[in-house]
Amino acid sequence: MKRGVGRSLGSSRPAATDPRSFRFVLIFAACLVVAFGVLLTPPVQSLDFKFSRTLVQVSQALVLACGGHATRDAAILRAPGGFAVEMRDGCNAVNVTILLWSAVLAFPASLKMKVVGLVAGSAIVQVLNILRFISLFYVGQYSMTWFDFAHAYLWESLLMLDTMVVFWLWVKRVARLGSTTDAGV
Amino acid sequence: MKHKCLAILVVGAFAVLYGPSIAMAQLSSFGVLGGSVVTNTGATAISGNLGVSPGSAVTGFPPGVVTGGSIHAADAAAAQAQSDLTVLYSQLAGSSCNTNLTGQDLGGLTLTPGVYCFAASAQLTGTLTLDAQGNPNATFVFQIGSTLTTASGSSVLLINGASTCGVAWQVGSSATLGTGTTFAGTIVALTSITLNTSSSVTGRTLARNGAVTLDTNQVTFCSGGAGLPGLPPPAQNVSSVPAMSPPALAGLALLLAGLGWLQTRKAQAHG
Repeated sequence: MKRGVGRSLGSSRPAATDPRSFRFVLIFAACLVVAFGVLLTPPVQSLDFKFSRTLVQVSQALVLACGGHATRDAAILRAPGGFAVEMRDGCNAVNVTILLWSAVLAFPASLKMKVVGLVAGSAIVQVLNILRFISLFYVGQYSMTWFDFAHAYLWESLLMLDTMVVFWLWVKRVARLGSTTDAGV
Repeated sequence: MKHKCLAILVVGAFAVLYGPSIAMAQLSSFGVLGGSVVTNTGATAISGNLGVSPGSAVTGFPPGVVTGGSIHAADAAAAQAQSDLTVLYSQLAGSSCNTNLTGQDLGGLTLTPGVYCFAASAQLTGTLTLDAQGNPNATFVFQIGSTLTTASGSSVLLINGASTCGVAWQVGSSATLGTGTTFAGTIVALTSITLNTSSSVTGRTLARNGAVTLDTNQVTFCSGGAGLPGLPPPAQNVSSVPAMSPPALAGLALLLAGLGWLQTRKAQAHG
């Protein structure tokens, strides 16, 4: 049964002591601990590794479809000139996705909106990550100076911004549709 | 009930995200791969990754060193490499034999590109010359029914553009390189590989089920050529591109927590 915001928050209790805010942070932290803990287990590490290879395969397909040249060796995308980028641990943006998932799961919203947030948020983060990977593949062939800048600063900032914006837009949509609940997960 | 549904959906989303894997060679990044254990004595130098799977024991590093890679003991990368090795082994074993050298010592021979087979064991005493005849992508595949053994001081010499990446030794049981042997190519052994004192390999030593035993050796990545089917040359100048550094991840976590906190309070205020 959905519990509306207005009804549950209709008291005169000050916002600073709102248990829902604390609850959000607690659930968010718990989700992070659990998710990263699970991510470190061998079976999930194996899946994580396969996922990286799949992303590189997708990246290669996109490069080829656009008329570019690239060969693939497992999680490595190689240019004809010898430059290569590798999608190793942490390169597949699963860690960023976990952060977004944790925030979505912790935020008081209806089940339907949580599912929308999880699926759409993951898709957006992963699409951006593939764009990041392909762009770095090309930038690295052009200039390692630009590669280092794009990798360490530009894309990191863009991914952070993207994750924040996705979460913020989702929260706005939840509020607009009035589908918040008292509970997180 | 609601929580159960959510859990099912989360698991389902994971299943979609972590879809079917694509089987292809991960092996190229491994200089040494063992099935049960990798043991070293002395100042061995390995280029590329060193791995073991399903076993997990790696001993002797240090004093041995691994450069251009890292040690993968029973982790996902090593497991995947072993899986790829099984495929590679079958591919090599299934190649059509061009020349049967059963009973002949490889020492003193000069061979051109092709597939050479031994019904049982193979022995190298002295120098084996592999002549690519000007084709840098030429491949030399040796199918050996049981053991591969080299005498002390033996060597494999590559001429006329032959690439060490284009040489493969499929060994039906175990390979043993004698003291001071200078070997070339990728050794793919069903059981174990032993490199005696001061022997060196320009290529890879990959054992499926057994141990790789090292003693003051050099295992250097092959270079040049197009490699073998399913086993390309190792990538040079590879850059890893993590999506976010740990400090940035921590920062993003704090930002999300802050945003969630504020939005929750805001929702309350508007409620």
